[in-house]
Amino acid sequence: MYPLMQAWINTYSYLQPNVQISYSAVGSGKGIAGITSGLYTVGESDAPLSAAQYAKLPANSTLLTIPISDSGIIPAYNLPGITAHLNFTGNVLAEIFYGSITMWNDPRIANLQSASVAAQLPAHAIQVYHRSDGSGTMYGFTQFLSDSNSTWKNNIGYSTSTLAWPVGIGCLHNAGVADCIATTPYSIGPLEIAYEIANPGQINYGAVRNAYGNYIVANLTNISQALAAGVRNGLPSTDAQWTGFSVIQATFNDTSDAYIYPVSTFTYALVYQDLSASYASTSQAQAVAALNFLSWVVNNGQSSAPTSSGSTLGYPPLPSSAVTLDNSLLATITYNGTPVL
Amino acid sequence: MTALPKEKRSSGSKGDLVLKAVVGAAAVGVIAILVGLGVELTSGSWLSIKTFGLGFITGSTWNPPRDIFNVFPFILGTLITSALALLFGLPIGLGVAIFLSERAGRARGLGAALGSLVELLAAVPSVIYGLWGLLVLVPFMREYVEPTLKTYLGFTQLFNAAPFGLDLLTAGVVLTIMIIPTISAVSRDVLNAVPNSQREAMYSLGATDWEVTRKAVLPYARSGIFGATILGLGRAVGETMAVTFVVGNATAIPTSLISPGYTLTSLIVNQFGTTTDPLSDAALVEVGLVLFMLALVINFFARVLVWRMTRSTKFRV
Repeated sequence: MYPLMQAWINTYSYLQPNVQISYSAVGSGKGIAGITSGLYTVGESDAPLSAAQYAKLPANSTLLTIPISDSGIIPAYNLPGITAHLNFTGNVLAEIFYGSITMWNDPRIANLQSASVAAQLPAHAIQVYHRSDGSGTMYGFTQFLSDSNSTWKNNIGYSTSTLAWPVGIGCLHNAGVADCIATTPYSIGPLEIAYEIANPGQINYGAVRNAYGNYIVANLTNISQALAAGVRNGLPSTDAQWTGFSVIQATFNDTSDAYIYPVSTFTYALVYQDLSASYASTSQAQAVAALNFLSWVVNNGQSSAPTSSGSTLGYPPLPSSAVTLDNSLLATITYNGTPVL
Repeated sequence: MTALPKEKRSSGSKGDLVLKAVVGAAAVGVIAILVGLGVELTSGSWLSIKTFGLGFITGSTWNPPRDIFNVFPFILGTLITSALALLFGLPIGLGVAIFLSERAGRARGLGAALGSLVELLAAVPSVIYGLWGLLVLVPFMREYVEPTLKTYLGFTQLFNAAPFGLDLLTAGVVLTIMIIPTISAVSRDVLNAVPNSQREAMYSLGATDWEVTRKAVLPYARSGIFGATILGLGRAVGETMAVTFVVGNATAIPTSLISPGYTLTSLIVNQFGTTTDPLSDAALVEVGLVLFMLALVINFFARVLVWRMTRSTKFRV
């Protein structure tokens, strides 16, 4: 998320040189804490607030949860000699990361593959890698594992902070996980799609089965489609609490679209609905500037956040239904009673 | 020593007073920072201290989503990696120091060049050591060193695990390289400070070069070398980024030297910014407090040992 926000800020500063945006990449927990205390005008988080976090908000305040970007998490692996995309289900992935499946040629993995690929699976132990730090990527991935496998859900669960991974080695940041996988044969680890798109062909990754039954190899399109399905399945209403909402859970049983990628998530901007309130600590000028930026991000910044060199950063664009929703949410934000935008 | 008569002190006494005040303030300031650090760490972690008590350092489960925070595996990881670093680093660092001070005297250019190169090791940022460790050392350990250790020494529990390179042993090797310059630089100064009369006396008794070093120079410099070791240990305990890249970051208690581990410093790096509630914030500050106390305890025992050693010898360094 951080490279994307940085790219947006860079691009926006060309368009609006008078607006200065400062961005602290400190993690979702601090983002939520910052908006609660009024430190930030706009907070950012990979997960909606929990009930406990909503309870800490100032009295009579309404905090809007606005999806501004998405990401997909792919199961990346390093298997010498195998170039095909392996098929995985959420249940099998959960068992691999829990330690119940330890060998690559385990029948539970082989049964998901075509005959020719299954024959290529080596009789070698699986080296599991995961993130050593907390992140939205791991939040989404472990949420998917929790939905797919009750043992994982009851013993490990999911979180934006670090987890008690039962097996495997932790590597720091997405780049660390990618390096660990690239230098270790017979390894597997969860990776954000953005990393693979920025470095195509360096890491091999598998397909994940969705509710419809298709094995989907993640790309920008099918992640966007998943998020559109999430919007279709119903987002919480405008100013309601978003606790527990997740695209992964909303689309887990969605069979309407055959090609959605099941491990896709939103990232959210958090803004108070009444920016003139004392707890928001925002001046009118700041409110206008912030909302103009957010509106630009939602409407114009979604074309894969082009960097100055024109390359794509690998973050899927918001589906149009989400853009419509975001615009309606932004329109409800007021300063001293009048809408800001 | 008799005090100066008052008339002699009065001239320039204002300057003396100012100097005393400034220097005194600096000393007091340093102590205040230390005490303030301890107080802040304690108050920041008070919630966690109340919740877990002593179980924080004796328990072994670190599970943030379930709000369980115990740091014994991390203390173990810090101690093991630092001990490994000392085990390898002390002989090498001391060897370099002995070479530079005792042997290279005859080839002065070589000594100076070698000395500068060793000190350059200290100038490399620790993140670079981490990256180099991850990309170069880890595959090397995984493919050559650890399978060999497992084959020949696998009967001991120490080397009985699947070797993947990201483990306590690799972290120990990286830390060794990082503390060699510290130990060798301080030891070399200490060895150079040994008076030549000691060496000459041994030579006159017919000792060989090595006997002179072993029996005359090293015992004389013992407490200084010990001080160098403690400095190296302090650096190893506090080393963060280099260790985080290569130690494996696994929260279970490590069962062997080649299984992945976790240190207190890596824990703080990985957890910072991702805490979601006051208890996890407080737990993280308490990890810092534990690290702080560990450093103080190590230093305290070092000083006690140095005091006992110098008390019982006839030499005074």
